[in-house]
Amino acid sequence: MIGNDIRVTLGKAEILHGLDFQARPGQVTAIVGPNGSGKSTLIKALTGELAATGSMLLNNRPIDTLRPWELASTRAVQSQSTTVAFPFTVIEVVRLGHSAGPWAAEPGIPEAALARLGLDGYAGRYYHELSGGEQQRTQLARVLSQVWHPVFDGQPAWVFLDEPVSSLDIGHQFVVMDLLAGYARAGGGVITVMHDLNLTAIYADHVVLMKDGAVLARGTPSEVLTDATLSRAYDHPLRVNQPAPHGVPYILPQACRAAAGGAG
Amino acid sequence: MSLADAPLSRAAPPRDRVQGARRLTFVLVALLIVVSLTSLSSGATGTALWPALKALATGQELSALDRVVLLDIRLPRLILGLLVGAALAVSGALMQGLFRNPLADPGIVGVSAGAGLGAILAIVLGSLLPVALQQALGSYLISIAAFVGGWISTILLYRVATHGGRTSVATMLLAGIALAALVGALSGILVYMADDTQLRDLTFWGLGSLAGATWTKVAAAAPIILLALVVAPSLARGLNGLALGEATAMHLGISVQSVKRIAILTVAGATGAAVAVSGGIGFVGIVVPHLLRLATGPDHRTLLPNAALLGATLLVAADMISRSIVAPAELPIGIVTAVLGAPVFLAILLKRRNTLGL
Repeated sequence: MIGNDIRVTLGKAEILHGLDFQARPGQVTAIVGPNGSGKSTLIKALTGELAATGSMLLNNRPIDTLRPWELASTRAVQSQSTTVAFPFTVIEVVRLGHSAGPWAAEPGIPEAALARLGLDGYAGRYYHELSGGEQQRTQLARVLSQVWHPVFDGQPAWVFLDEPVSSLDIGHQFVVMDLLAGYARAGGGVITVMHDLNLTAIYADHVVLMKDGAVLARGTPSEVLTDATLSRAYDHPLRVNQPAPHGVPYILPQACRAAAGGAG
Repeated sequence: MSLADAPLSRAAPPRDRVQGARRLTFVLVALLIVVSLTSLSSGATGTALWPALKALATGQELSALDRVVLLDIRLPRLILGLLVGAALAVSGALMQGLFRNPLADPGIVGVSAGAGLGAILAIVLGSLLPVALQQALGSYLISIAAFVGGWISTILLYRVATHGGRTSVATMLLAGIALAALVGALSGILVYMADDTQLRDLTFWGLGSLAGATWTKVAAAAPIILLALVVAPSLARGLNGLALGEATAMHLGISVQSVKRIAILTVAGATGAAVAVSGGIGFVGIVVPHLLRLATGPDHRTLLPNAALLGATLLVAADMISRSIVAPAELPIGIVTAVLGAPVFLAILLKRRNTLGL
C-alpha cells in the first residue's frame, strides 16, 4: 500500500497536508498520534471513504481504478464505530462481511472468525444487545471473514482498522492484536490506527506518528517511540522506558510525571 | 451464574432465519391465493365464484350480470389491490432500508406529498383545462396528475439532496419535511377555493379506495409496479450492507450511490403509481415490513419478496372488509388499513421495543 502526496480537505480546512504513506504486506503498520492529528482521516483517505488528492496504490494498482467489488475482495475495513440499523444477529452481521469477499463460497468462515475472537455461542444473539466490546469484536469478525485468507490470487489481502481495541478489556486486546499479528505474518497487510502506545510498541512492525495532518516520524517502534519524538508529538513531556529482557519500549504514565517534574 | 448461562435475550432468534423466511414465502403464497379467491367470490351482488366456475366447466354460458360482476368489476379490482398492496409494502421496506429507520414511510421521498398536490390540482382546477382534453382524460385526470406530481417532487428532492455525486439521505429527509409543508400550504389554498362537491372528492381521494378500479387503471399501473417489483430484489444486498452504514457498505463492495438512486426511483415509480390509482392508503408500507422483520429477521433478500406477498394479501383483505362492512355502501380502504394497522403497529412497538433497535 503506497500513498503519495495525500491531501484531504474538509470544508475549507485542509486536514492532511500532502503526506506520504507506505505499508508493506507481512507487517503490522500502526498509525499513532494525538487527538485530531488526522489518523482517522488518513485511514478514510486510504480506504476511499473520503475524497483525497494524491496517488494511492493498493497492490500496485491505483485505488480509484478499482471497482467497489474488486476493492472489497482485496481489503476489508473496520470503522471506529459501526451501528447496525435493524435487529440483525451477530452471525448475520458477520455473514455480511463474508458474502462480500472472495471466500463467500467457503463455508464455516463466519463461525471460525467468531470463535477466534472469543464469541462462541454469540451467533444467534442480537447485535444491538451486545456490549460495546462485544460489538467491536463482532465487527472485527465481519472484517476478517471478508478477507479470511491473508493471500488471495497470489496477492496480499489487507485489513484497515480504526482503533480496533478501543472498547476491549486488556485480555481481549491481546487476543485481537495476536490475531492481527498472525494475519500479517501469514502474508496479509494490517494497517491500524492505534491509541495505545504500549500495544503499538509490542505489535507494530512499522509505526507512522502523525501530528497536525503530517507525518512527524516513521520507522520501527524503537525508532519512533523515543522521549524527544513523543514529547513533541503529544505536547507533553513523556519518557520511554525499556525493560532489559525484551528490549520493547514502553511508556509508563507514572514515569512521565517524573519527566515533567524534571523538565519543570 | 456465568455469563453463558444468563438469559441472552427475551426472544432469541433462531440460528438461521433466512430458511425460516423462505418457508414463510410458501405460506404467504398460499394465503394470497386463498384471499384472492375469497375476494373474487364476495361482494354486494349474489354472484359467487364457485357456481360461476362450475357453470363454465359444464359448458354453460355465464349470465350477463355474472360476467360483468366477475370480469369487469371484481377481477380488475382484485388485481389492482394486489399491485397496490405489493407496491406500498415493498416501497416501505426499500425506504426503511435506505434511511436505516424502521419507521420510514414510502412517502418519505416526497412522492405522496407531490401526488396529493397533483390530485388536488386536478380535482379543483381540472375544469379549467380545455374541454377536449377533459373529455379525453375523463376520470383518469386525477391519476395522471397524481403520478406526475409524485415524480416531480421526488426528482426535486433528489436534486436538492445530491451534491457532488453523493445523495445525503438526511438532507432528503429534512428537505422532504420542508417540501411537505409547502405542498400542504398550496393544497390548503386549493381546498379553500374548492366547492362542496370538490371538497367531498378531495376527502375521499385522501382516504384511498380501490372502488374506481378498471382494466385501464390496471393497465396503466401494472407495468410500472411490476417493473419496480422486479428491480427491488436486486437492491437487497446493497440495503443489507447499508444497515451497517454508508461507509461500511462501500467497503463491502456496494455501489452506494447507485443503490440510493435506484431505490429512490423505484419507490417514486411504485408508490406514485399506487397512489395515483388508489389515493392515500396508509400503514401498509410500515406495518408489513415490520411484521416480517419480527417474524423472520431484517435480511432484505427475503424481506422484499415476502413484503410484496403480504402487502398484496393484506390490501385485498382490507378491501374485502371495506366493501362488506357497510354493504352495499363502501368504506374508504384507507380507513380500514389505518384502523387495522395503527393498533397492530403500536402493539408491536410496545411489546418488542427492545428488539427493534430503536
